[in-house]
Amino acid sequence: MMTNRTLLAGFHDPDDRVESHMIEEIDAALGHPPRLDLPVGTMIFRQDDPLDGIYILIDGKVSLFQLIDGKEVIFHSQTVGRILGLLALTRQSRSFFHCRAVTPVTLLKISFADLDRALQQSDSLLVSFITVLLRSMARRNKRLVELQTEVLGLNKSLASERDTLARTLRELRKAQALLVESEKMATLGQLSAGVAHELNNPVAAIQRAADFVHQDLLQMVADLPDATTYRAMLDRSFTQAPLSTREQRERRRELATELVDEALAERLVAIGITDAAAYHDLVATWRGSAGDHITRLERMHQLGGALRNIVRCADRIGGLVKSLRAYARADHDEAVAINLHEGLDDTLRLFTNRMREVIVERDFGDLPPVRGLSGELNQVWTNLIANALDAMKNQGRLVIATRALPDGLVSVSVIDDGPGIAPENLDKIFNLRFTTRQGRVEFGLGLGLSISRNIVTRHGGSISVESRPGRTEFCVKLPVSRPDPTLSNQQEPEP
Amino acid sequence: MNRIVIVCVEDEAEVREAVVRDLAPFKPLFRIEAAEDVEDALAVLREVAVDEEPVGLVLCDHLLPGKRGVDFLIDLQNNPAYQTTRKVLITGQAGLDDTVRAVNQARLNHYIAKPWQPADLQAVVRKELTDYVLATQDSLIPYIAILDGPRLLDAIAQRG
Repeated sequence: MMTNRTLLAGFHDPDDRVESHMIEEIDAALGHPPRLDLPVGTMIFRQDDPLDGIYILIDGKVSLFQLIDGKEVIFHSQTVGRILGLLALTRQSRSFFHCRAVTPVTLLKISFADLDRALQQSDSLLVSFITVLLRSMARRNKRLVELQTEVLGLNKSLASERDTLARTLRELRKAQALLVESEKMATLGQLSAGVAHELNNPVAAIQRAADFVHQDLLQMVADLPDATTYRAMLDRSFTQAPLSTREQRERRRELATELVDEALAERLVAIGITDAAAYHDLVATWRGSAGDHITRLERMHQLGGALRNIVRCADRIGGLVKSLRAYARADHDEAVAINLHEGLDDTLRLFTNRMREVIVERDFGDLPPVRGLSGELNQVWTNLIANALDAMKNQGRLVIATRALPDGLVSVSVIDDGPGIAPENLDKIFNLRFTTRQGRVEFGLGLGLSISRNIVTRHGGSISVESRPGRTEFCVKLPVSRPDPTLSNQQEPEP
Repeated sequence: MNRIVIVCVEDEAEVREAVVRDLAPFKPLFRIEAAEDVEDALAVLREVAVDEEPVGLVLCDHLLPGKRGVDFLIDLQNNPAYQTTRKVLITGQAGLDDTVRAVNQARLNHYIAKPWQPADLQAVVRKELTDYVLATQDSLIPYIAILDGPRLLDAIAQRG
């Protein structure tokens, strides 16, 4: 072997020179073997072909690729180098890549036997060949590192894309949940408005009929003997609330002692005659049996009481119907000037059945009308009051406070004396929960608060919460006359 | 004769008056006491106890201010003095949970939903009071006219 030559000598030469030197040396050693000229697209060898030599690429370009899942994946095109069959050469085995001409190419095919022979003949060829070999390997290796880096980059952007998609999906679900809920509310509103409307006629008829019966009854009573007594009984039972059950029992006991007749005392107290003197005065004016008179008085009392009940209950139904209609009034998607107190009162009235054991304090300030959608704002009051009642377990003190604030704002606060919201949940309660069970925080604050915040935001306002055990306040602040663009786009421009 | 007492607990005056008036057919033989909440009902029970008159039937609304109707009925069931008292819930608002509790813990005998028909209410009261007198009274004859006559006559025949 050579001692006066080193492999390093060639490293300072540019690739071209080393390569053409190598080709010259091969030609010299092997007696200028013939060139192969191949057209573009020729498969020079295929992956896993047994190779018995190498190809020197003299002119043109090839690409090295593999088939992965039926697709051509190119590993080298710029980084092929001059020697084809490089990996097969190192392992003396089958080819690792498919190799195809991407331009017309000129090749020199050298069998392993010829290569060995040439390398043994010329030390200079050995040096240039190994140099070309090493440089090719280095280029291909560098290319692999680049590919790896590319893959990492792709993975990263894939991950970020996946996160974006997941976020979008969450947003979409949120939007869908809100849509479904607001659709439900709209349907419910229309239904209630319809039912309320249908109830108006029967309620009006009942109220009028009670009035007619009352008038006719007064006429009939006027024609009776002892008309004054009966008229007085009818009027009293119609206008006055009956004694409490406790009072009735007390009066009954007293009167029974005075009259020494328990059964009589019971009948008299039932019709509102509670002292013996009044009874004796009455008896003095009666002709005939006192028992008959008492029976007639009982009838009068029952008639008056029944009429009173009909009128009072019809009025109650009428009030409920009015509140329901006002509450569920179909919004015309138009912001109008609203008296917030009316909406709050209507909402409170619809909660009557849950507030039997709740002391409601209406701490209403002097508010200007507020531009907004009354139906939507009523939904906010409903959510806040329902949450408060849930927290209070329908018992305790509920304060509804309204104030006019400086800077054209008004505030509506719903304050309950329930156990309060845990500090760690405070900043989460306006978040949307998809599941109705696991997702719920302590008092089932779910979709409602999220929807409320959306509505308030659309009105250009804000909603906040403060909570400690025994006092939780939800405060809604609304601008009086600065409607949000989405609310005002169907409006005349402000003067 | 000590009258058997019917206690009716209802907080709304209009509804209370209506229930009491619908109980009129029982008035000749029974003492009907109305109460507007549980506390008031307890006062009635004390007065009735002083008069040594037995409580045969309690008709109770569920949604009352203060203590709930079902809880009142459960308390009654747990009191030996009112084990035989028939207990009826008359309400529009008791949920399933409360009703189940009433049946299991208060041995609720009947549930009447509002609004009621007077004939239905009277049929329930007649049946419950008949059960009560059969279980507690030696002399059934006075009740034949007002309560379930055929059942009472059968019982009289069997007792010999």
